Amino acid sequence: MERLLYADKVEKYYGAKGNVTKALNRVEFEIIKGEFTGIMGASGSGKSTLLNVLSTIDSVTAGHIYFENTDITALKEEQLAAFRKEKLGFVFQDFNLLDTLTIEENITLAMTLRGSDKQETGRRVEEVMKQLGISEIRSKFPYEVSGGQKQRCACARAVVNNPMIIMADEPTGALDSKSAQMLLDTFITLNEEMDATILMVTHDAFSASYCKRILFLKDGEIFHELIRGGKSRRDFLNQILDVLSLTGGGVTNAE
Amino acid sequence: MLNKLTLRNAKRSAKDYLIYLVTMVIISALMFGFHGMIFSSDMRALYGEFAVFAALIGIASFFIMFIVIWLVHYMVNFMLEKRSREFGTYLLLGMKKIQITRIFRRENIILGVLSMLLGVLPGFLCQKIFVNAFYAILEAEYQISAEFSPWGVLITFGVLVFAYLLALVRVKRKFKKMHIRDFIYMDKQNERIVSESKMWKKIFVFIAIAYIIYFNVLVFTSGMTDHSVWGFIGGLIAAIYLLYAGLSSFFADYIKKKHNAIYKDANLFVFRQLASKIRTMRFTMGTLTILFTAALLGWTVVMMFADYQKTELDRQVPFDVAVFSDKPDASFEEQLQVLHENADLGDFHRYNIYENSTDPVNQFLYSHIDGTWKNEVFKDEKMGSSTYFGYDTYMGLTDYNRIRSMIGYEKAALESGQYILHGKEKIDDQMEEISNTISVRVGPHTLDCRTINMEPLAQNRMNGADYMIVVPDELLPYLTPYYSVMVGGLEGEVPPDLQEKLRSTLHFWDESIYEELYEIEVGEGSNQVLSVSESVMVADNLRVEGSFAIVTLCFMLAYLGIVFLCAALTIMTVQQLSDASKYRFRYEILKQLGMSKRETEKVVLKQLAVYYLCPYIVSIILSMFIGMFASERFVYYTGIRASNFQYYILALLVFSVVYAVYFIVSYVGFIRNLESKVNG
Repeated sequence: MERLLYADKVEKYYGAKGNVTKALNRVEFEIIKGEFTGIMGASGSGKSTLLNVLSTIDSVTAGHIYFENTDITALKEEQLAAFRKEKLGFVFQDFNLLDTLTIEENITLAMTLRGSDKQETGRRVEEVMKQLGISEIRSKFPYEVSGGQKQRCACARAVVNNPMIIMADEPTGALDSKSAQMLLDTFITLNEEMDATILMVTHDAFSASYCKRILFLKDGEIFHELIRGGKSRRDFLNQILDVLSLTGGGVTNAE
Repeated sequence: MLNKLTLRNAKRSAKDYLIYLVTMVIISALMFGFHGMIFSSDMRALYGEFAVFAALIGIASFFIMFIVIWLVHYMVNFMLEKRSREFGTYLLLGMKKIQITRIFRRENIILGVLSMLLGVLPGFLCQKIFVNAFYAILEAEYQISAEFSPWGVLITFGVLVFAYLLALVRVKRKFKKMHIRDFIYMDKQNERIVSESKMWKKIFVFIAIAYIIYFNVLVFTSGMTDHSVWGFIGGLIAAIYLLYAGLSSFFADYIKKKHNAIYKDANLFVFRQLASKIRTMRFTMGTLTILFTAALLGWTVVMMFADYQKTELDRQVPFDVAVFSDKPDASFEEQLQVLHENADLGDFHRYNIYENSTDPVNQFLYSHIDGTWKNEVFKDEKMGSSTYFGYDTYMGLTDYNRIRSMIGYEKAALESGQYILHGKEKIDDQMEEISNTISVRVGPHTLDCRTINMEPLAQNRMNGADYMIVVPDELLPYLTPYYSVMVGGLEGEVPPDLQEKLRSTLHFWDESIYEELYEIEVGEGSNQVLSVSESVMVADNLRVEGSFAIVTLCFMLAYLGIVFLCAALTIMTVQQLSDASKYRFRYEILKQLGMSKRETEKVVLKQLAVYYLCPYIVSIILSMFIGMFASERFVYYTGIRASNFQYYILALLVFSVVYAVYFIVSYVGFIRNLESKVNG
């Protein structure tokens, strides 16, 4: 079991002197290659902040984050950009697709930014669109397709470069229950068949139940961890709900 | 409370639309400057016939008023759209529409008044600088005075307030028609991405380009008549709009065809941004291009006139004083008396111009020079003037050498059987042909051309029109005296009204038909646009008069050109800056996709460069041919010695500098707008 990511006593403070908010307080955990990990917590628990520092969009106040053996908290702006480009894939709640580009072009751009040539880009984009079932809507613009399709396009964009890890921030947050389920099934496919490592932040217990492991965050600290092991998804969901009843979370997409 | 809100909003708008405010300050400063000049006693002291200046500046201000109305109207609507959600919130809070209208109007009036007030001091400085420039160009002594004219300020205020009111008048109607829902979703409406799906529209680009080429060919081959030219210009304007209507499809099609270029870096993003921007902005872009072309052409004209002022005016009036009489036996007693009374007349000479009752040279010139005309006014056996005299014009060698020596030219020599052709440089080709093909016969003698001289010699009726045939004195008895001329030198100071005083001694002017009438058919020469063809020419007076008119025209066109340019560039810049905030998320996504700050800046630069280059290049192409054609015609008609390019290049340089300033402001502002969120 190879360790992919290690967060070493990460701290993140907001605010100035006299009025400091501790968004993350000595958070420490690791992620193994091929894992599908969830991070749960109520609003303000620090889960988005955690994802932001892990994805290098935000910087830490103290502590270190290691990807394989590189300490990304020590990298400079330009190196971070290159790191994001090479190693990370993102999926966001509000899709973050470029509205001026078609579905296919959104995926293509992620590759051309890395300097891939025309042939390889064309082939790979074709392949990913097929896997995610969005080939038919390739020449449509984001405003012309449904939320679920948009999110699958975002997933395609995230995986097209074969990233080391896919970071998903509330990916089902803006989807109806059917689309959400389809997306989560897509994640499972990505994880099990394409061996992608996924880190998903969610406050929704139903979405979280698709994960193999869940970290619970409260007031900027990890206060609990659940591992699915051999349990069925329904049992796992119940277990999650039990934990949430202690912290005050909820379920929005339960069957 | 509402007043406080209004003030706060105005303050925020001033900050958000700083470039608009600055442009309005520049415009009002220029207006203050020019209007101040109209009422400046310094300017009145400079030149008697001051009304021309006031009239030209008045015309310019009239046009500028429309530009201001357009700019303010555009900006008001723009702000309305940007802030519609805020107005929707006011409505939700229970404000009445009329209250919101009032707040919004007042905000804009505050901005307007602010820009006017900020413009007063720079305007005052402008006025002083402009007056100084006028004095310097006319070589008069100027003592800087602190004179301040409240009238200039009042008129500027009046014009600007009128423009603002007109621009704001429709706001009320617009508010009245809208519902809360419209307000809240108005900005969203605007955000919907309109991608050009009709690929056939790209054919517009080719049609437009074909028409522009056709138009330029017509311009160069002079294929337009005075009547059809307006139709062709109308077609040109339509072609410009058509070009932008097709350009978006053109870009979209380019992306669809998957050319290699789109697979490089973020080009895909840049092209799509442009296609969508041009799609939504096509009408504005077309209008901007037309304005740029107009500004550029205006500047070309300014440069042409400025150069004329500098070099050509002196050439038009080589003698200190010259008087023409249509009688062959004029003694010029009356004029001499005026000259002796009012000035210090030095050396002078009275002489005759002769004719031979034939006109082969004039006929040749009528058929070989463009823009000549034949007199059609007759009254009581008198007639008006034409381009050339009724007969070819001759002069004796002694008279010729006498007047040459008066203005410092070398003496000319002639042997019997020879003549000298002295004419304007602008007709040198025709003179060459005349000397080869037309045989000059005086009495029994046929003469050969000894040489062609082209020094300036007052050849707009004084010493012939365009040319003069100089013959040996012994042949003069074969010729008939045609009319008389007196030329002389003046010493010391020349009174500014000498020209007028001398003119009043001549009686060519006929009140009843508003024409000058002569006993012979007088030729004025083929110079046009700026031609000094007078029966009395006092060099000093005419130089000031001509310079004054030309400098005034230059100032007026420069004034218009600058305002055109600034207004158009402000709209482009404001558009871009607001896009920077509105579509910040696009650049954030690029960042998430792994673009570094430097790479993002490169994308922005590329995108802005193409966006700014579109109207820049189109207007340059349009104005280049028209401008070069105009320069060429100008050189042709005025006989000025300069390369055709020179005027255009100078104008282009000024244009590019102003353009570059706005481009840099827009780029820096864009990056700053992007960063404000990324860092915050």
